[in-house]
Amino acid sequence: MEKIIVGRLLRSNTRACVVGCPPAQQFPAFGSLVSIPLSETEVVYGLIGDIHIDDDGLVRQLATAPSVDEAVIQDNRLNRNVPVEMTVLFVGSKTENRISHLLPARPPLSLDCMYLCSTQELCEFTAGSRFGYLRHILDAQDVPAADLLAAHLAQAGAAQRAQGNSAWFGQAAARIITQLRDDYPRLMPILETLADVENA
Amino acid sequence: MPLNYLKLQPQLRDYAQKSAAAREKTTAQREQLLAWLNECAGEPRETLRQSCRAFADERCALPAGEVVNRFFSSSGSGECLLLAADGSQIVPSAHDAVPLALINTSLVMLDTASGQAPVIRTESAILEDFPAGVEFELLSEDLISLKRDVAELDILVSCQASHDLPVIALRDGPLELYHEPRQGRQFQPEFERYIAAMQLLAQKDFSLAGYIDRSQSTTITQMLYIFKTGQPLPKEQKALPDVSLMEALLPPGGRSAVFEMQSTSSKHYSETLRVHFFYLNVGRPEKAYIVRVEIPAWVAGNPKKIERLQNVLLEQCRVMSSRPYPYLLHRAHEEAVVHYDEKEQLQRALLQELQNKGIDALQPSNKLAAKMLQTRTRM
Repeated sequence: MEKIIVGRLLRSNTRACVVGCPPAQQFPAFGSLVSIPLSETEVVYGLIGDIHIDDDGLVRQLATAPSVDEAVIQDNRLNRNVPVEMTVLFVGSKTENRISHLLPARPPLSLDCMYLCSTQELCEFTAGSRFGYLRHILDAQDVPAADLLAAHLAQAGAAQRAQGNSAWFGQAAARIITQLRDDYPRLMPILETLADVENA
Repeated sequence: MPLNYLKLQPQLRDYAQKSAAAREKTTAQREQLLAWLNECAGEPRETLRQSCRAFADERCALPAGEVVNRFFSSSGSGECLLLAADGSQIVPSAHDAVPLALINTSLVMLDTASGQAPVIRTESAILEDFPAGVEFELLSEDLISLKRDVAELDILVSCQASHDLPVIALRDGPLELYHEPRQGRQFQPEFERYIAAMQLLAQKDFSLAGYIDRSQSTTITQMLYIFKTGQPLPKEQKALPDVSLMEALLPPGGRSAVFEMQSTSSKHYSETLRVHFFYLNVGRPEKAYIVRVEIPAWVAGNPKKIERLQNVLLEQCRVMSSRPYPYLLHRAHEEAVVHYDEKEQLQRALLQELQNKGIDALQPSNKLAAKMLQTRTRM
C-alpha cells in the first residue's frame, strides 16, 4: 500500500524537528510514531511530541462573535495560519533494515516528507525487550514527557497486544521504573499517567 | 533621539481641550444640517440636481431618486457569490540596491450559502519600465497606486462565475479615482484600462462596490449648503463630514438614500459607469459606525442589487464582531499585503538574477546603509 505523506519538514536539529502539514488533512495523533526517510536505505523515527495551532488577532476577534459562520471556520482552518506545526522527537533510525535506538547520525533536511508508521512498523520499532529509545522521551525538554510516554505506550501496547505480545506494556513500564528509580519526583507522575493508560 | 515628553505634555492637554471644543461645535452644526436635509427632502429632485449642477467643479452629492432624508433597513439575506479584491504594492526607493516596483493583488471568492472555505487567488507582477537603466528609472508612487487600482478591477473581471448565483464584487476604497485622470504618457492609458475593466464588470452584471471605512467625504454637506445658500461652502471653511450627519440619521443596519457623485472627473465616466454612493450604519444600537459604499450606475439603478449588497455587507461586518468590517475584504487584504521581509527577500532574489546577468555591484545608498547599522549590543 502506498504510504501517505502527513507533513513536510520545516526545521530540525539532532534531537527533534518541526513538521508542517495542511490543517485540512487528518494529522497524526499526539504520541504517534512517524518516519522520515533520509535515503532509500535510511529512515529516521520520531514521536509526535507536540502539535501547535497558533492564533492571531483575527482569530481572537472572531472568537468574541456570538456565532461564527461555517465558511469562516473553514477559511481559518484551511486558508489561514497554515501549516499546522508538529514537533517530532527523534527516537531512533533504521539503516539497511537494522533498527537503532540512537539518535540519527544527521537530521532530516527542509521539506523532507514525514509518514505515519503502520502498526507493523510500530511493532517492529518497539520489538523485543529493547526500550533504549524511551530515554529520549524521558530526557526531552519542552514536551509533556509523562503524557507523551503514556500516549506512546498506549499505542505501542495495543499494537503489540494485537500481535500476541500482551506482556509488552508491563515490560516497558518496568524499564521506566528502573530508569527513574533514583528520581522519585519524576517517576511518580509518570506512574500515575501509566495507571491511567492501563485503566482506560 | 527620544521624544521631548516634557514639551509634549502641555501640547497633548491643549490638543484634547481643543478637540472637546470642536466636538461641541460639530454637534450644533449637525443639528443645523439635519434640519436642512429634512427641508431638502421636500424639494423636487430635478430642482436640487440643477442647483448643484450649476457648480459642476464642486464635489457634491446629487439626489438619485430616493428621498434624501429616508433610511432603508436591511431585510433578508444576501445569498450570492461574493468576490473581494485588494492589492498592495512595493514602491521603489532610490536608496534601495535595486529599486523594485511590484503589485500584488488577491481575489477571495465565497459562495455565501455553501458553508465552504473561500477560494483564494493571488497575482504578483513586477513593474518594469526603465529605459535609462534599472537603478535610475523610478516609477512614481501615484502611478503604481493607479496600476494597483486597475489590477484590482482586472482580477475581479477575471473571475468566472460558475453558477447562477448573483455576483457581488467588492473592493476596498473608492470606485471613483477622484485624483484622475492625471495627465501624461503613463497615466491616461491606465485610466482607460480602469474604465474598460468597469465596463467589463457591467457586462458581466457583477454588482461592483467600493467599501470606504472612515470616509472624510463632505459631498452631502456640500449639497445642503448649495441648496440652502445657493453657494458651495467656501474652500477655507471646513465642512462637516457626511458620516457625522448620517450618524444621527441611520439606525443600525440602515442605509441612506442613494446619491450620484458629482466631481470634476464625473464626465470621464459614461452613463452606466457613473459613480453613486450610499452610507450604511454597520454599528450597534449603542455605537453607530457609518461607512460609505460607492457603486456604479448599473448597480444604483437596480433596487434588488442594492438590497442584496446591503445585506451582504451587514452579514460580512457581523462576522468581525465588535469591530465591524467586511470579513472577506479583510481576508483579501491579508492575502495581498506585502510585508517588509518579503520585499527584502524578493530584492535579494532579484539581485542574484541581476548578478547572473553580469549586472554587478548594486548597493543600497550610503544613507540607507548607515540607517541599517546594527543597534548597540551587550556582551
